[in-house]
Amino acid sequence: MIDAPPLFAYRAYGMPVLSTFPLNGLVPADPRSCVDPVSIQLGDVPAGLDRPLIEDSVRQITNAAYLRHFPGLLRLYVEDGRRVILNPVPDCPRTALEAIALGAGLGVAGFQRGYLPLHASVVEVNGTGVAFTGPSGAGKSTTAAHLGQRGFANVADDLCMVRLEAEEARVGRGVSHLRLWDDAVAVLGWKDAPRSPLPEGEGAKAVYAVATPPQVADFTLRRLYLLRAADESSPPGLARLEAGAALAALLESLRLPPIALTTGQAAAHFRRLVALCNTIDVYTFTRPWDLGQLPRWLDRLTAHLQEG
Amino acid sequence: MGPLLPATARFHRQPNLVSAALADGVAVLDLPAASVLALNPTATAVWNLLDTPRSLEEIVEPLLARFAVSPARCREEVERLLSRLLADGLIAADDGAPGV
Repeated sequence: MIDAPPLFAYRAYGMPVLSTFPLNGLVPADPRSCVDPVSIQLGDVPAGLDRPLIEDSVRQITNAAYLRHFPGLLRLYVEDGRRVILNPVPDCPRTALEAIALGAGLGVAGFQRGYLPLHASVVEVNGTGVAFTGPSGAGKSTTAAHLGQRGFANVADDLCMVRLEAEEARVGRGVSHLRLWDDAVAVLGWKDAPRSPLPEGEGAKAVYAVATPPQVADFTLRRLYLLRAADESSPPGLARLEAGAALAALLESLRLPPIALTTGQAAAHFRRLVALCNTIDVYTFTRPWDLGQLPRWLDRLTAHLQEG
Repeated sequence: MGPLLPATARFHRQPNLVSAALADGVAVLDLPAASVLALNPTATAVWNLLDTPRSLEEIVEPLLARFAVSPARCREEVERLLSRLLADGLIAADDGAPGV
């Protein structure tokens, strides 16, 4: 008799997931409910892909497969939106393994399935999802953390997978933690809160467990806010973006722009992106650079979230 | 002074472009350049006319019937837009217009 390895079942970003190793922070699921799952496992990966459409020093991409080398950590292979294989070096830290499986692994798998992976954090507002996007350092996780203190539970951090169905944009729960910089933690008053360090290369960030909504089912994404830092020409405030600017913001927030616009799936993803633009409201939230002033502007944001 | 385009040129959309309707215009994906351009309502009206090759006058005429604008202003703005679309490689001209 051969013993099958244990499988850990989750629902992540709206997708069923079966993994041969535990993925901390995801919502557990009944393995019997995992129909057509993304399977995550450790194992050998191809040395290279046949006729890649995109190729650089660390990546090879075709329409159906993605191969990436994370130097000093592991090689990642994602195929057909269904198989994620990680081949780690012997001393690869567990945190890096999980972070790459949850980030690049599931992000690429979702993309291959026709989801739009956005570089965004999501909170729950009255049973719907509201996303916050912006470049690294814009304050996505920090904003989500402050909103969590105001009763808006965390749905997803840093990665949000959007799927369009029946003229609605849907997002599923991601990990139940936030990755925060030390200065943001100080303003939040979380200096003594339990934390886990991030892998090397992610600066002074650490991982903090946060409250998540009781709802396990996916959320309708209603709004997206593009986060910007205020400067002399752009004072703090909120403004709605017209369609063209909203599309540009969504395009910027795509987690995988090189694939999004250059593989054979480009036209389909472009149409999904435009459909998303036509489905949700997109705003800018220009916030003060001084974190000490942030709570006052979050009052305005909170009032804005509760409108409509 | 606006850009001058040859009166005999006929303009048309480049192949391999994908477009989709936005709430107030059209978004165009330029696959070879991996870029996206969102057109405002006026540019969208011109873009929609370019589903078949047209001269400058054949573009301006229906716009004059639709928008409250003087012929000179309309022509100037259409020329400017066509020049931009030519420069971006989203349209082509089949007769004498400066290619990019």
